Amino acid sequence: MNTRNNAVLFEFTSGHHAAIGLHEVAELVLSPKLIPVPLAPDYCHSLCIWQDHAIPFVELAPLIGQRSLDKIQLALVVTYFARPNGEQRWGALGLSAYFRTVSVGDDAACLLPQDSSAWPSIAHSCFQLVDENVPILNLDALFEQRLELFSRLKNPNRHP
Amino acid sequence: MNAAAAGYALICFDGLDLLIDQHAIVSLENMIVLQGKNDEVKASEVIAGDACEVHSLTAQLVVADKIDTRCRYIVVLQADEHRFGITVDSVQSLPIQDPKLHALPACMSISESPIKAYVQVKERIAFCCDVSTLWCRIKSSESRHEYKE
Repeated sequence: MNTRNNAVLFEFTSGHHAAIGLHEVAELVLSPKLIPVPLAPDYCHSLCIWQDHAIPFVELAPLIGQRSLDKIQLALVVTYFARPNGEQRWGALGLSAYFRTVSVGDDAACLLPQDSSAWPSIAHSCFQLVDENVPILNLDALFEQRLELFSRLKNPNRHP
Repeated sequence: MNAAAAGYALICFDGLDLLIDQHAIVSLENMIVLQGKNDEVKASEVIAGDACEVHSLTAQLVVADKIDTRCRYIVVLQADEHRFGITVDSVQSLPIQDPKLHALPACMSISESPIKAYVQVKERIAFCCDVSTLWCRIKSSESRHEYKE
């Protein structure tokens, strides 16, 4: 197995992680300049100004029924190739802490987390890291479609 | 979408920059023309003379409960057969030449939204607003208010 780091692991809300390929990372932006978009969905409420361009900003937490970050201080600018024309595009992800690189091999593959029905729509696959199942994001699916997803289990207002 | 954004006026309220087709603008009025300038300013007012509803909107295009008396102007808009006004802080032409309209990213696009595109002016974003869809949104908001009562 190739032990070189090939993925970027990041926390998007307290205790919840996701990953993307190392080759998909463009830049980590501190204190990103965000412009709210009227009537946009909770999970992609703003455009992020990056290198004089406006790119969509996505928070994963609302997609899985978690609260948005109180203050967005970190944005990870990512790049991907949009289907079907293969055009290179950029987007930004909200982070709650600094990311780190990890080595992910096929032997760590596991099932997607069961905390939300959103994951199959926005994740390629998943790997086990200690006791957490970490989804690997499909950036084209995340940025290039309008998602209508709701958390299946996590509702902060619901009592057990 | 990458069409030229000529023919739009830039209006600002509640920190939001909106581009409105200049053909949809009937007139620009001073807030002084509003009747009933007391503490109980309602969400819908009437411009003296040629009557039409006036609303204040939030940056999320939600109809405010009260008219925002800090605004200086009222832009009177024509949406199909309907004429209505919204309160604004400022109205101006776009401060750049040959602006380009960009479609909203797919993940942000909602069919019922009057916002489908934007123009970037340095670190400022002005959203292109369809007046007819905006009017439908205001009317549906009013219906919800009535239902609550």
